[in-house]
Amino acid sequence: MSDFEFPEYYSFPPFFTIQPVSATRQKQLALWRDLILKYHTANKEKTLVVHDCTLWKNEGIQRELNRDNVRLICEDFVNNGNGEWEDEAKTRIRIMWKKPEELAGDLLAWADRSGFKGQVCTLYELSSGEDSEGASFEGADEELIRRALAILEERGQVAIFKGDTSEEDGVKFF
Amino acid sequence: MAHRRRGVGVGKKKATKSGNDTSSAAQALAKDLNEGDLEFVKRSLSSLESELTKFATQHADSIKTDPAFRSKFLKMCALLNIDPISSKQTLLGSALGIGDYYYEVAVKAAEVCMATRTKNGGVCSVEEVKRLLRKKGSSMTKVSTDDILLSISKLGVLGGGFRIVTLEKKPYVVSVPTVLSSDHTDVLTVAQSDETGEKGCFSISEIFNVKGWTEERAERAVETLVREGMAWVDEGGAGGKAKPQFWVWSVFFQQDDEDE
Repeated sequence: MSDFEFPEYYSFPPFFTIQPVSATRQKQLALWRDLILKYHTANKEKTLVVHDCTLWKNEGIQRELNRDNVRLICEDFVNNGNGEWEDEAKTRIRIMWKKPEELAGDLLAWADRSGFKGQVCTLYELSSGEDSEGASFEGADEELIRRALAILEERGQVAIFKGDTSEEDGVKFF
Repeated sequence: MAHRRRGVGVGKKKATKSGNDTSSAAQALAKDLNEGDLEFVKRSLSSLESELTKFATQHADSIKTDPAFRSKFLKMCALLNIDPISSKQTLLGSALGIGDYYYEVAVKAAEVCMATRTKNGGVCSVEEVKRLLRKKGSSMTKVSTDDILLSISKLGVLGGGFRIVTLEKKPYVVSVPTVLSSDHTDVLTVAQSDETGEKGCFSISEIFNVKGWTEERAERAVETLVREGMAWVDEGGAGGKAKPQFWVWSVFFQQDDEDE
């Protein structure tokens, strides 16, 4: 695993019991969303497998979420636009490290910074190229990058060209 | 001082001398003395205040930047019944601008309390407020516990429920108007106490053991704390088989006072 540092609230025992009071529960769910997102982003993991996620259990304080609570937290995570169900049976979630709109902004800022304005690069270069090292979208899900680019294309800030394979699709930043 | 001592001495002699005349003579003397004393006191006070102002202006920097120095200075002012914080009109207040500093602490402390309210239900340890304020940087990097206590006490005047509650000698800022009865603070004190189970935690049976309350009374107090978001419910003890426990966010995450 990575050197992900768990937030302090991960060791707060009632964090693993869904709170009965609405205001507290809303806060709790927001903390879970944040945790799931940060954990997967830090570890560069793109998928959350519902029945097999280490986050649900904290051995250190002997607390774990029961199945219903896992379900609730996952649904809330997806409903907030932080992820998408990958399958009908809702067993896997594609994690949106960032929401497409946020990523679109990152892409644009990056192109500006690294002199890609007016240049063409491939989708592969964006997710795995040397120039994107350290960028928020490095290693990001291709689908997610595409969605961010689609937003930019709509705004007329990029143009997308078909390549031989999907990874070779080109992007021109204006 | 010399003037005053002599006065008192003379008075005593006269008063013991004769019987009947005593009261009127004493009254005349008292009037005399009072006028003298009053003038004396007035003079000393005004000279004291001007000395204090001189001192404050000379040490303005230390007062503003050194929490320990500031705290001592304020204690000195308090002894003289001078409030340099709220009296901006006075020479002292305006010379220092110290009131502005406390207003700033108060506003920022209020901000911090509001921001953490959903997690801790509006109960936040002063230590935590201090830590968060210091993280804000700039003028707040050296804010002290005393500064915060003082600022909150000034905020309280404005209403809105800001006040300090002390649990087991640890001060907490309460930033919600919820009325906390002594039962509520007693329960929070059980959470604060190290002797009874883990820090930040309490259960109905624990309250029963410590306070000897009926289950009903304990439950009523706990219910309010949970409803107000001050305590979180934990049903995960002993693999989910234990009776529910309750945890107080701000007590659980309380940092020990490392510096001052």
